[in-house]
Amino acid sequence: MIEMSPEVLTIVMLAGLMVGVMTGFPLAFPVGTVALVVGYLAFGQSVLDITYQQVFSILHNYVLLALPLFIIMGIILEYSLIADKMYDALYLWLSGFRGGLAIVTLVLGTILAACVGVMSASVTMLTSIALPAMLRRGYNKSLASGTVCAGGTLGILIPPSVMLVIYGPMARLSVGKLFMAAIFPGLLLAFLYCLYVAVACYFKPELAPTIPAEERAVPLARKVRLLLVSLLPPSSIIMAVLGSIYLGIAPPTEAAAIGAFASLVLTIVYKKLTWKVLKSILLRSLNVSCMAMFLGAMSVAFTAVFLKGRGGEVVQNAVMALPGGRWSVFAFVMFIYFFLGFFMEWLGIFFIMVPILAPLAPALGFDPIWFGMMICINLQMSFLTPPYAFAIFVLQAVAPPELGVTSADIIKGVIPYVVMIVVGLALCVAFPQIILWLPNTMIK
Amino acid sequence: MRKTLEVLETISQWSGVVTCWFCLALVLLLTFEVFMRYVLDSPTIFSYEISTMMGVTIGAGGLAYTHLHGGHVRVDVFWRHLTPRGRALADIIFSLFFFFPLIIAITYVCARWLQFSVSTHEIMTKTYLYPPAWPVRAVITLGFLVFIPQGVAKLLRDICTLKGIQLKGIEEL
Repeated sequence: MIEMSPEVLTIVMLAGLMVGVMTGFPLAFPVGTVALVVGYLAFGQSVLDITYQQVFSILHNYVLLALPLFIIMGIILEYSLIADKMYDALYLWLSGFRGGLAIVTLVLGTILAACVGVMSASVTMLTSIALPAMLRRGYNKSLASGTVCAGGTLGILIPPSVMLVIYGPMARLSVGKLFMAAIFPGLLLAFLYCLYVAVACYFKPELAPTIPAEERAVPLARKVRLLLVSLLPPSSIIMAVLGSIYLGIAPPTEAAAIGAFASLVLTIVYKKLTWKVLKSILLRSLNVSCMAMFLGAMSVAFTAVFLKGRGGEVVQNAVMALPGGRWSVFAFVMFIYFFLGFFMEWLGIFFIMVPILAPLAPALGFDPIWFGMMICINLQMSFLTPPYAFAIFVLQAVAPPELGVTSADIIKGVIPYVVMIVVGLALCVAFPQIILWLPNTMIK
Repeated sequence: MRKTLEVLETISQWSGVVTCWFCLALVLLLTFEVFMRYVLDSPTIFSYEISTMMGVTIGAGGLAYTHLHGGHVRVDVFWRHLTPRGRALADIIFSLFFFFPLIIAITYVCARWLQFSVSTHEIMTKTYLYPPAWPVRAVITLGFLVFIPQGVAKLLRDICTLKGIQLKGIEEL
């Protein structure tokens, strides 16, 4: 054991983290190794038990069970082809407008977001359905791919959302309340995105050629029927999951299980469930859940060592000492998350930074729910901003190569949406009720 | 070496195939619990405990499978721009620093807790079910125990890539 001042420990651990991340080795391992090595130097053998207890606390955790369950639900819905049916119905209604297909993409993204809690599921669905459709109609590649990325990332903000499932326990807040808090900000972002598309396509019609009227000439009765039929299953899933949380019938974990079960039934009804499909659904769910849980376990071990070495106080004191009062501290915290989002996977950011920075909210007199929500909205940008932009990676991995969408196209396309997220954040600062109204009406 | 690699990877693959059914079981168990509580008004006493045990199984049992399929997420800002051989080399070097010491240390402490749990007849006290603690601790230990050979398999695979030896894809397992 060596004597390590909290300041030295803070610098060594954060520097070690940065170096480890840059190696490109799967994130969980360098994070865990830094915790183990620094912990061993500072506290000796007992670091092993600290690590074990943190691993145990993440794996053996009822609240965090919602994580695998929402992942399973998202992956099942991906296979159910629910999105294809909705796309066809929304297309008939909205394709008459300028930029209609992009708006269809965003509306579909919003509805999917309310069904699934994982972004990769919604970006995948939009990429395989909406992107080819837009490009076939001669939509601008940047507009199309940016819209898919932005619409898809709503999946992790609009509840159910695995992001909030993790934020809750890490910051000791109710996941159910966070879910309710996220609904209006999520819809606000969706609205801002649509607004951008409408304005951009109004001034530059060449971005989005209109669809010939004869293709949309479907009798109204049929249009209504298609819309209702396609929207019924997702809305019943949304009601089952979010309704039961809002009314206090089930905690998020059980609501997630009901949602996953309902999606499974839906897949059976749509005759999409074969033995092979079921196996690949379960294996993919295992892969994603296990990744998230292991990264979570290693990250909380890191945080436990960091907090035990009093690094948390160092960071909190440093941030609190900023001149300019609580709003400048708030701005700085937001900047930290935004900056980390360039380089790091959001799961790592959450598991590590939230326990360190969340105590600042009450200390500064901010509502913890509002504070957390602002961070979650802020991190939407991290999925869209390179070099580490998860939504862009998913799109590139899923999009058929013959569409010819390049990284440059996508990056150009997401910039306006990043601006819209900043606008959304500013609105939530100016009108905190956007976030706080719904959770305050909830059954306690 | 080819044979060793195949054996190690088959173990990881099967650990995943077995574990993945717990994902389905978890969904069914909790749905059943909600049904019992709200429809039949007779909640079960075991579902809370059993479901968290299933969570442990998913989280620990899937480690090797996830590693086999490259599921552990990377922040590959630079890594993705390397050639396949460069990637293999980077992974070989960093696995010696980041993978083996960490996973071996965790496996060791898992085994120590398992032994403690067995020798003291430790029970879980979160619910009135009071189940013994050793099964959960055994599952965690087992998960990490299978993780180590998968790390060796990944190392062998990377060495083959480095030497230019053609191997069967992971999908063919």
